[in-house]
Amino acid sequence: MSPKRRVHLGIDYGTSSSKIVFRDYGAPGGETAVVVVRDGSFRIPSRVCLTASDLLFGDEQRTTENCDIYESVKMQVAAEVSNNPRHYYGPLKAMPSGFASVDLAALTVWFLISEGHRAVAAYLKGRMDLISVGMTMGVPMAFFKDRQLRSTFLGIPRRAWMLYRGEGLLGSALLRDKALWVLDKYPLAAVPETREEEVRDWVRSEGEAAMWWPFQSPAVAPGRYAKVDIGAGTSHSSFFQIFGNMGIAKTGMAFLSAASESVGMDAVDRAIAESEELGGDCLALRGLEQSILQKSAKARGALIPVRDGIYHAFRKGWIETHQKIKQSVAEVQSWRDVKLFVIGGGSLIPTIAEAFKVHPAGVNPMLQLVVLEQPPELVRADAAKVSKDELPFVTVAYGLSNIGLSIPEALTPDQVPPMREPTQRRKRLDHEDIYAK
Amino acid sequence: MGDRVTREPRFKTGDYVQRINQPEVSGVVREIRWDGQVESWNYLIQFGAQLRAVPEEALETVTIVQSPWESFTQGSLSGKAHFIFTLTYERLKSPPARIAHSFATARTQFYPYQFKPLLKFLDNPGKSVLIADDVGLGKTIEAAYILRELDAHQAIERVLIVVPARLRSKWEKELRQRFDEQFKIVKGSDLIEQANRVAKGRELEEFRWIVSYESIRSEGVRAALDEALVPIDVLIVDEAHRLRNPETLQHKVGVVLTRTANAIVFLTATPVQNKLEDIWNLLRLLSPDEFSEWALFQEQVKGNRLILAAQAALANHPPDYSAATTSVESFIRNYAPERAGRRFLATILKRLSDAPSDRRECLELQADISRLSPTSHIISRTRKVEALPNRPKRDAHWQRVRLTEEERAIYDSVEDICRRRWPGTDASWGFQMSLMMAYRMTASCIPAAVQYFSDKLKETEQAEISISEEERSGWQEAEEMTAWTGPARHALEQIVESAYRVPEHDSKLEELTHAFKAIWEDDERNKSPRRKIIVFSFFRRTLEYLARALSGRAIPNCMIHGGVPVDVREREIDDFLEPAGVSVLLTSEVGGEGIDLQAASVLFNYDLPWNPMVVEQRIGRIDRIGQQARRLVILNFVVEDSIEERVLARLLTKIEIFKESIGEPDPILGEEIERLAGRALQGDLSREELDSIVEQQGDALAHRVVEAKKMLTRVDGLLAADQALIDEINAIIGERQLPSEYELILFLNSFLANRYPGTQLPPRVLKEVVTVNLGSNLGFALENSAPELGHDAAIFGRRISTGPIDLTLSREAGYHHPRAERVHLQHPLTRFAVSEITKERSRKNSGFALSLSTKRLPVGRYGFLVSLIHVRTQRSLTKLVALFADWDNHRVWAEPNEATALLIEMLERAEDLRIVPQLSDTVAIKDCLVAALDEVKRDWEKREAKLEQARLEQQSVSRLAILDFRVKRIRERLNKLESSGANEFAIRMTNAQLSKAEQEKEVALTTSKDQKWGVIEHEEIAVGFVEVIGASPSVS
Repeated sequence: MSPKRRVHLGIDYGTSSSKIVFRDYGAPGGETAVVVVRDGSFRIPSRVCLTASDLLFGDEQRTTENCDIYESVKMQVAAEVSNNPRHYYGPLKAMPSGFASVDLAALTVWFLISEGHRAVAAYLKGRMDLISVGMTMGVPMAFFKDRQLRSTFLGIPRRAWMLYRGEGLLGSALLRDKALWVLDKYPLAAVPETREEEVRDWVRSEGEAAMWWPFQSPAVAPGRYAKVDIGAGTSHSSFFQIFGNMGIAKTGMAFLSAASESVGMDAVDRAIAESEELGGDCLALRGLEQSILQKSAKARGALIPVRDGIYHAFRKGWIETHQKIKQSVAEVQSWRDVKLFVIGGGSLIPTIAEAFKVHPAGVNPMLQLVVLEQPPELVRADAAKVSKDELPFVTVAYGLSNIGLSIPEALTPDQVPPMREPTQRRKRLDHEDIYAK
Repeated sequence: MGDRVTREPRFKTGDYVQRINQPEVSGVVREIRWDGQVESWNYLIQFGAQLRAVPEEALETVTIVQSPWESFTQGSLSGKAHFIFTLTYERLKSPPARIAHSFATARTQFYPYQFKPLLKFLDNPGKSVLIADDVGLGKTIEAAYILRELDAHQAIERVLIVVPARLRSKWEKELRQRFDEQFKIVKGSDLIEQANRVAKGRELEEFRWIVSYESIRSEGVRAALDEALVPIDVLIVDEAHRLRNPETLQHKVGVVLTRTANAIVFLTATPVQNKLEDIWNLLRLLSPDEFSEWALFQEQVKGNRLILAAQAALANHPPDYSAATTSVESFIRNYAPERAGRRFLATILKRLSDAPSDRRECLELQADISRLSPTSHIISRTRKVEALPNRPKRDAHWQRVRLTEEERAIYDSVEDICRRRWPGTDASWGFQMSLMMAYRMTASCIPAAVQYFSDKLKETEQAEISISEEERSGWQEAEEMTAWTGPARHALEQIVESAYRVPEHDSKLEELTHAFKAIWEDDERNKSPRRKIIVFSFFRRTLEYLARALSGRAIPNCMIHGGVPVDVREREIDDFLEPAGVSVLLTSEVGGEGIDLQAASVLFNYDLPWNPMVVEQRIGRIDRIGQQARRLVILNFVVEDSIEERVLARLLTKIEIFKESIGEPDPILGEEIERLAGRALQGDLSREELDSIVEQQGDALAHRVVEAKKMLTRVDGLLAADQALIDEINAIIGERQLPSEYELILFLNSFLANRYPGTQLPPRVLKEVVTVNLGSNLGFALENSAPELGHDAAIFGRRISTGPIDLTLSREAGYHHPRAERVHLQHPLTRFAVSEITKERSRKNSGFALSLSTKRLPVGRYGFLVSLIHVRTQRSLTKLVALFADWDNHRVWAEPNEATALLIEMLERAEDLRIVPQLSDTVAIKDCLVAALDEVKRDWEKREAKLEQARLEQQSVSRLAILDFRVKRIRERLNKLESSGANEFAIRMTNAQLSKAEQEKEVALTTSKDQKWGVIEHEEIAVGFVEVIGASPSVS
């Protein structure tokens, strides 16, 4: 039997929208990573809408008369599991009868896997008989390093996978009764235990996934790096090191810290809209921020507190890193010229991105911003080119589209112990040592 | 579910594997893990310097292929990235172009005609060429291309460039900045030292020297070189017309130098000045055998006329075959010795009698006829009208400056002092020079001059500066050379006495600022960007004064002169060349020398040069290749009722130098104009007398210029149509015989990715200069490769070991940033990559499966074959050939131009297939393509054999004609001696000469019959399957 062609889905299950990239390992000419496009957009809404009879997934419709919308299901899961309401912005919403938040999350991920599958089938002209599909889902680094949250978020894709394998593809609508029936058929308890070394096959931290391309890119050398990801509602930072094997190959990454602040591009747009007295939906400003900032000193002034808020995530990450390295003078010195990746929507606004060139420890010189060239194998499923503006949004899904082994060693902050000054080497004997006696 | 391991892995740690869909990528298994999700194995593989996780389904055991066909028939097919890589590698390894090493290596814009002299040089077995292009077409670059190409093919240890003193630093700088060639400026004494070394039998050193005519035209240098015969690998002589007079010492030095040089390049825009002997004198220096006698040369000129006539007849519409046949027959009858091989000549006559209706055949016939020319092979000439058909027009104006009373008083007093008789100073060059400069400074800029005079007087008297002839002829800024000693100091005292105060008003400056405004207002009206303006002055003081004055009037400016450090000069020029940068550049001859300022289209002569050569040099900064403007504005500032106006302006206008280039002016013109201007200063002529002399002399000079121009057209009579050479150059670009910059960067990045992690060239380097850190590992490797790759690899290795460097692949960006490293097809990094890949490359997969959207082929499936055909003859040639065959009906699409165009499309636009179809019938396609390739080879063999035969026959014919002529002359002499009853010894000697000449002729004749044309070989470099999509309906 000729071996099947392997395709791996990278699912960036986001708070408000999700992105999928599938990697075709058997593509003629070499691996190809394809951004799944649905209705012309790479963003697939993550919310779940409940009507009297159905559950609707990926629906663009914001409100309907007879529809109950569940936004941020992912964060609600986190808030419930950790008993920490800060994960969810606003009062927790009561789940519909018969459904827990993890159920809705599992069903959403099943839908996302099905969307990926459908995109693969369309891309390969229906030749699914040749294809074997796998998947990995992204989890925020903060969840990933928390044992309890990681376990919960590992259960979501595993259960969704059982649903996909057992029940086939899920369309955008599912009868409520059918939903309850399949959830009952594939309960959380039925999810097999996952060995530690297999965890990263199923879930990986979004931070690690976002940094997969820098890890693989031939243009990036082993060294110390920081990453700031300015998303819609949240900004994440992490400090990490890429290890090399005697300069020959990059062998792994270690994240020394990861921090988040609940401020991002939404807050940026809000501040600009208020300062410019623009009514209506401030999200309509998306993409126009830099041109407004260039023209309006008032807008630039209004941006300062928001930018400081985002920068705070960066500083928090540095403080956590510093805690780990402060025992080693050499290490502290080395982290002074850390190179910086700024990704996410905020990276497209120089006024914001440039602010991160200042080292959080206040040391000179200015940090070097690393500009990553577009990955050569990344394309859109509709054959259009992945634009520079789209790239920051699909990097996580792109990184997740790789099978688990792709970064041989990837340590999360909880796995990196504090560093110590290397034990002093024995002093070499000199002339006096030998002859004075 | 799936978490249990259900089967054994296919590979184990340490196994060598390759990707199924990318067979060229192979690596070693480092780690294996079961993937429960899909119930299969995943592997961590080390591919070169990268670790990648790959599922088992995408891997197979490494297979070694022996030929591209093996991959193809086994269905082991790669994609477009490897296709580009393979073709780039193969074209870099065996460049399919004769000019590969010079092409794309320089920091210059590409102009096809600039490679014509190189091709002529390569075709000429005598390895010499006279480049007689018009001024401003880049003869320096053409000579450097020849040097670069020679350097790549043989060990070039000693290079000597002979130039006028004023051009030494220009050559040094051009070679350094544009070609990264380090040359040293030396003196005649250095040549004598080398000659002494040779004479003493000591080992010769390598050298790359630039020396001036002024420094070597001494009997000492000539005698030393004549005695020792210092071997020179390449001799380049600029402004070679200086060697055309056999009576002069510099001609005699030229004779000695050319005798010992292996390869010779002469450059001149005026190979003839007054008579055709001028060019003959140059040609016989280049090739004494061929052009040994004047009478023979005249015969050769006549012969060439017939060739030109035949070509002209063929160029008619419709071609006049009968006239062409008459000319060729006449040529054969008179100039091709009967016993020489005439097969080629016979084929030409046959083709003429066939009267081909096909235009292409007719063009080929013209090209073949041009090969018969007895003179064209050694002369390369491109005229501005051919190279730059849309060149700008010169629009010159005079700006008369009316002085205020105060200014006039100063001007008159300086003129008066200069005109006085100064006893005992007639023979002092220094004194004359000082006074002339004092006058010219006053005419240039009164405030700067007054300041200068008083400053100089404050200085203590210094000994007279000793100025060599070399320095005198260089563009020294005059005030730096002026020694105010002895009587000159008395004159200076008087000048300062009469002009002690800087006048309050500066009329000339007012006119200048007014002119700036007029130009820029015009731009605003036309809504075009502000034009850049260059202001030339002969004097440093004038420039410095103007810089201050203009800044004070809020007109930002840049300034370059001999006193400005080189790095500051480069910055200033960058500022000026920047589109949004400063709009005014103040410069002297020294500052602007060798700098191309085509970004500007307006030139102001703030003072008037006394020598037309300087005028030509000034205008040449902007009137040259690369100038985009359609009109060049030249504005000359001249003080009303001054010697400049009365003498210079009139003379320069008469010779029409501001209207169009007069080439490299006859030095006599300059001398005459300077003499007349000097005469006007002497004050022994009345105003009317002076006007009359200027009128007469002006007419005489103008006539001289016209005659020189007419004479120059006679050079065209020595040439034949060179279209075949231009076609060859265009084909290198058009047929992508050499990799593009885009292909080069893909190739280099692929190489670096596999070996040096963290080292990549970002795509932006294709357009701009980017700071790149290539790392010390690569640096050390390059340094270690120096024994194999050459010294430049070590230098580059050291550069990148020490930290980030500025780098670009763009010619344009490289030219504007001379300190940035320009990576090109022959750069050490490229050579290093090719060499390393060659070392490890057994045979990587070179079977491909691609998809192509094109209108050139109907939609369908095709097999293709890309091959390098090597023709090994007197001139080796490699050519990239592509063939396509329809998969279903095996029809071959072998029309060469179409196939080449398709190959280019594949390099530019091919995509990977999403699913490769099951390919059956691969053997049939292979047979069909191989048979087609054999046919192409046979065609090529025929064509190349014909060309080679033509070349050899032309050489034989020309050699035999020379020998025939010699035998005839000796026989005539013998007859004369015998009839005049000369002594027996003389007759015996002449008889011996005759039999020797006849013997030589016999040998030449035998050799001409035994000559073999060479061999043709081929190398298959890529084969594959291509699915054509999206063809236009018009394709049948």
